[in-house]
Amino acid sequence: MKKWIRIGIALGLALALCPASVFGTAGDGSGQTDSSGQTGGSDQPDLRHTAVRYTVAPTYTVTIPETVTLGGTVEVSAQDVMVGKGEQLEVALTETSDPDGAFTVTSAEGAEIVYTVLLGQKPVPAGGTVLAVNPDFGDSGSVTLTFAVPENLVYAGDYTGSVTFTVRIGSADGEENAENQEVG
Amino acid sequence: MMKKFLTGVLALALSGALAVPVLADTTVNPGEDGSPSPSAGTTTVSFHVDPAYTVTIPAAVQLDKVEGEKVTYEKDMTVTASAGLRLLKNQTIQVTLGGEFTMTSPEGAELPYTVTAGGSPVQKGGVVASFGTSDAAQSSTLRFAAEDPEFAGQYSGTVTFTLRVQNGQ
Repeated sequence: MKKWIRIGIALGLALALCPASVFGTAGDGSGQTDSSGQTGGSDQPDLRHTAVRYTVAPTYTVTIPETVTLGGTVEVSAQDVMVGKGEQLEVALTETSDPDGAFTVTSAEGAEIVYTVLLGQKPVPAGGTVLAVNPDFGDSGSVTLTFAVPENLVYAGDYTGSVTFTVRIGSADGEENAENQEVG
Repeated sequence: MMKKFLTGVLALALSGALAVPVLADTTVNPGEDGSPSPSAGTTTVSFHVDPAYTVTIPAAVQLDKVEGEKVTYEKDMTVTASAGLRLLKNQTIQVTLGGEFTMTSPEGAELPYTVTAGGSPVQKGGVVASFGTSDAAQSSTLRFAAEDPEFAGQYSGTVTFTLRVQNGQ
């Protein structure tokens, strides 16, 4: 009997001295607790604060076509767009192979063709934004650009040039995505 | 051992020769700091324009008798290039004239003649026209002229026009 009483007392003491475990629900990402707490023996609750943090990295996939032939079209698209609140993903036509920033292709003989890039029926100016995706309205968008052939072709030849699309995170303008945006 | 090494080198050389660069779209995703990576993508723009030209050379020229201080036989003929002639920049189409510049009759009588272009004599094999890229039609007028022959008869001969595309400076 005495033996069992001793065991009981030892067990009770051990439980009283063990720190209380804090259980939390594991999150999808990087949630963790910093500290554990335990209540003491006084009437006032012993408060502990646990900082809960969760980092959501931005995501997006923008696809820019490798080539286009004058007279044809290209599709610039953005998918799975997640950026900070108040931000939007933007794609702008920022550079051309012409030193003056015009949309031109040139031949090996030095002949030049000046062409127009159209978004719908509207010409896109060099530097203009062609696509904006605001996550408040959707997480994807795409635009089809036409590289229009001018009517006044002069010289024969094989012509080449290039344009550069720049991707950036800008301030959301509160307007709907892509198709409804004004080019500018 | 040497054979294996050479085989390996050959295989490597062949695979390099057969490798074709694959063009691919640019895909932009967030970088480590969340900024776009890469920040830009380039699209190559290309276009091919075919050369085009139509040069018309009359099949025959019939000399007409011209009564003057001296009787001569003359006729103008025109070599034309249609509107919309299109070549590479700095190229021209050169038309040269070859032949003996002599007509003969079935009886064997000969009648030499001269050819002038723009008033200047044309040598055998000489250039009679040069056409460049132009929206407008172009032409060159040649004059065939012979003196009054000694003998009567039906005289005829041929000339050959040769067209070549020339690269300029």
